[in-house]
Amino acid sequence: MKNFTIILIAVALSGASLGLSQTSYAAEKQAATETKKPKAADKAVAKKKSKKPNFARGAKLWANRCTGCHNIRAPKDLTDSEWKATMMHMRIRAGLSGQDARDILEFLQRSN
Amino acid sequence: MKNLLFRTSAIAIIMLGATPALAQTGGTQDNQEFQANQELLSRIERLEAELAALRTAVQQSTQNITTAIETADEAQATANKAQKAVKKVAKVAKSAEEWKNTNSIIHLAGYASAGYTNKQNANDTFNQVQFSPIFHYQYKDKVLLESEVEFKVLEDGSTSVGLEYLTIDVNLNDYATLVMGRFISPVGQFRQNIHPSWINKLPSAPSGFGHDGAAPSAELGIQLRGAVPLGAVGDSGLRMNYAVYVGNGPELELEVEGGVTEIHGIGTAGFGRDIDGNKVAGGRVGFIPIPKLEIGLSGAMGDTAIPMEADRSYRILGADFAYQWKKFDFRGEYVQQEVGALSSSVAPETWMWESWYMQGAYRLPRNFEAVVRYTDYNSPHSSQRQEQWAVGLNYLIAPQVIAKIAYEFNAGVVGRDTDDNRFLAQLAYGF
Ligand code: HEC
Repeated sequence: MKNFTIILIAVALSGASLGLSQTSYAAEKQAATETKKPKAADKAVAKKKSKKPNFARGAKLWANRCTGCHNIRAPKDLTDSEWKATMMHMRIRAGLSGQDARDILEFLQRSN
Repeated sequence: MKNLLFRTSAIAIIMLGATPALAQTGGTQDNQEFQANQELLSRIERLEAELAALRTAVQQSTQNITTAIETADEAQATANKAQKAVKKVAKVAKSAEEWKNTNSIIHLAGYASAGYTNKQNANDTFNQVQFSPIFHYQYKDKVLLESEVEFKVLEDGSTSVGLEYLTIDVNLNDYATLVMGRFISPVGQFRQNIHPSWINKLPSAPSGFGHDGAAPSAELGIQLRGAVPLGAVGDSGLRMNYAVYVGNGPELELEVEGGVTEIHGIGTAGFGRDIDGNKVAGGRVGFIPIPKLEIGLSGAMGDTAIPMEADRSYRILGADFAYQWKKFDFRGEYVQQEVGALSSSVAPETWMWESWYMQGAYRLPRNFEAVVRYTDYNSPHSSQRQEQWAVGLNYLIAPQVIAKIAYEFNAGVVGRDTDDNRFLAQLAYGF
């Protein structure tokens, strides 16, 4: 009886999973390309020392820093305002500097 | 008679003769008149044609004018509509702008789970029903109030409600945030960052990392955390972060087993009192030497006590790492909590709880994920010790919505439930 229930649940879960349309993992693919950008681009980005929010730096930081604890979240997941609160939350949780948080927020708000 | 005839004929002849002459002279005059008349006629005709043309022209232009008026009216209506639309758009834009740029933001996040457990030597049950909303109230880039409330369905059907954390965070500058309230212990990674069900890749916490195990759960106090300023602003190299805190510290829980009084565990729920009067101070430093690798060191020191007894020393040590490489996700963590000896105590010895785990996950095609975790939990009580291998298979419905099944191979004291293997299923949703 117990084994039967286990099998039932396993089958139900896997069945449901397979039946689901494939989630396109756009965010992960995007993150992969962001991290793979050549070192030269990295240096060019790093040279822009402006304290203004920087999209390119934000894209790269998002790809590198937002996978540390949980699955990467797509810019499209949230609205601008929600990203603002979430980035404040993540800045404090992950120990990001204010500049890193502003750069990532810029990227997220312009890509959603 | 002859004369008359002659005269008549003469007159007739003259007349006749004269007629052509007359006709000649009279004819020129007539011709001229005729021609004039003709000209007049054709002028009239031309005028008439001109008039007709003019009339059609006038008619046309009247029509044109009417159409023009109509078009103008239409244009006006369109302009009015456009103006209205512009006003509407401006209004919408303003409210959108307001959403984006208000001083205050309210945001709701959190997570929930539901599951099933089938444990050896026990009835299989549907359980793990938990709802943990997280409330965010943000003021500019300065202040964030964050609070997680935890609702859990208990075995007897009742619901427990807990304030998992409540802090008011004030950003002092780009590198420091002051956090005050009840917060999740910043020691290590699991309690603070991995325990939410949509983040944890297995349905269970590693042994010793749940409540009242080897890893501290929460603190009530004050915390300073942020990033260590390193290199140039916006540089993409090395990163470091820190969290330091002072809090009330834990309380020790007693248990009498077989006539012997023992410290059953260290209560670290984040007490709203300090029975020993001495605070506990500690924290964690994290290094990110290369992207996607974080190494953390944690520690804390202070005093704790059994209620009604004198203080005794208390210490935490911890180390953790997390590394993502391609489709792999590795993490591991060690933590220990130690309570110092106190000769006057009913439980005078030194007591130590420690646990460590290593976990590897691999993203399979079609959004499946395989997970393996090894945990070794050591406690002064043999009944609590456990060595565990857990294997799991997850399906990622979305990055934050995960269906998990897992099997735990548990080794504890034979006959104890820590020795019973478990099958677990869980549906977790982070929002
Ligand atoms: C240090 C670990 C850590 C890192 C790094 C991290 N997060 Fe999170 N994140 C969490 C935790 C933990 C939660 C769950 C919230 C909680 O339990 O308080 C969370 C929740 C979220 C949520 C859900 C909404 C919310 O506000 O709770 C989003 C979206 C999110 N993170 C995005 C990000 C982004 C974007 C980044 C990169 C800047 C990031 N995270 C980096 C730990 C982390």
